[in-house]
Amino acid sequence: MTHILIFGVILPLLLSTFLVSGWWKAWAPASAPLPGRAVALPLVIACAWVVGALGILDGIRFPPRSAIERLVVGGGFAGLLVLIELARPQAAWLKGLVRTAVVALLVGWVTISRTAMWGHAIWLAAAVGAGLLAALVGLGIERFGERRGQWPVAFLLTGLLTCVAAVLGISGSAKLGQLTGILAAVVGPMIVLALIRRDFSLATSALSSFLAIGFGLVAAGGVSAEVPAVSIGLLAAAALIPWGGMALHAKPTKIEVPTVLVAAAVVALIGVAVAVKSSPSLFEESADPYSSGTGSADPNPY
Amino acid sequence: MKLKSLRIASAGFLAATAVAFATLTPTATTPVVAQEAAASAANYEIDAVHTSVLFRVMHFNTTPFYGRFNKISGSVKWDEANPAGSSIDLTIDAASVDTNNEKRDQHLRGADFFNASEFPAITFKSKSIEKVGDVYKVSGPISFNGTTKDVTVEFTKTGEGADPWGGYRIGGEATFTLKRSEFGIKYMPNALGEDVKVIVAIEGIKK
Repeated sequence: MTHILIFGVILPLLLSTFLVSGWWKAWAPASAPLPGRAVALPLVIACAWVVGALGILDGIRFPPRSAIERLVVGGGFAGLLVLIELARPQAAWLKGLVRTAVVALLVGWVTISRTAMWGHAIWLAAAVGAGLLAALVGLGIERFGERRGQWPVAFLLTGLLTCVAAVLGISGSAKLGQLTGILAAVVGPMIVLALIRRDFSLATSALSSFLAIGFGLVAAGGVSAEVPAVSIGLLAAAALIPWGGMALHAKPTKIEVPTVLVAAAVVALIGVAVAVKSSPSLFEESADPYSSGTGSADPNPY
Repeated sequence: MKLKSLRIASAGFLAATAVAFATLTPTATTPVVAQEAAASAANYEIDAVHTSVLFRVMHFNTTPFYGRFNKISGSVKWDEANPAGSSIDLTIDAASVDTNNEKRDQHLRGADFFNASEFPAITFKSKSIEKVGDVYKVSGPISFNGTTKDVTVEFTKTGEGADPWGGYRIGGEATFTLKRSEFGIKYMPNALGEDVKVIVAIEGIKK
């Protein structure tokens, strides 16, 4: 438990705070407006998350062999790749393209062991689909942040992460649940920064790495844990709900923000409930091996 | 008269039953067939129902806890006269792990332990078999959770003989210890022991 607290919460939190503070000092002195270069903060998220993940997992085999090990290595590279956004920080099309490509690459790499089962075409379609979905989710959250400020985005991201962690943990991988918790710990200082400085956009600056690692975690869960597809679908639907807030665009903040947050929470919690329902009970005995047939060469088990 | 007939009928029935059992009892034919088998190599298919793979791990450094795998397949080539010409090939379905608790089994199948969806098969394929005293030293690679390591285990042949259905069986057992972290299973280091004792008892049916 101490190990999890140190590596899963305290270390990534401190590292993220330290890096964010350093970045703040170097690029955005209090007298100057925060530049678009703050978009490079996704690298901070990726670095701090990878350090925390390596601590929780007690190191990984290299070259990586499992989906989780590939995710840890790929998460670091994703942090580097999203720096391409620096070229045109204000260009939404570039951001969308980078997010699609980075998430597709990461999800594809994490799920590469599925090519034998799914076939190359389905695997590729799943990776690209995940990339497009990530770009759509990212744009929706960004627009939501632009309309209604940063604190609702912080609530939304934290709530979604909590539900993803719960689904992964319930579905048979406590490790993936903990790795999701690290992401929440890493994003924490960004949320504080967003709250104390109005010109810092959490949705803009921290979202690309957040999306890449978040989608990677769910993909790893789909490969190596028994995550119900319905739960994954509901979590994705919850992440898309800020788009629904567009319908309330003309309405005051008082209506849109609680509507979006409550709707997202309800949909994500249904996803958690589906995972709970699909998962075996803690007190359920294993099935009798003789009842389902064991493929024995001997027809008489006695 | 009726009583005499009944006695005769009963005696006849008992005699017939005894003959029937005698033909079914392996001990009646074992020595002869065993000698024949010992003289030459034979190939066996693993009998999944009578083959057991158990594992033992310390829980909270307090109690040895046992689990098993329910789906095992493979083959054995056994040459008593020339052990070097023998081989053992085992495949275990990692998803068939059974600890008598479905929730724990789900956790064991997942990425924290056996990662059965990514690495569905646990395999052992012998490279060499050597007789040392009464036991056989069986060496070969064991693979699970994406890691392959060479191990040498002591295998004891526990018996062989005919079964009541006309088949011929051979059996043996090996007990050895693996370090789980060497196979990338590092989860819960404080709750579960590092050393995992594995007990493999195989029964083969002659092809």
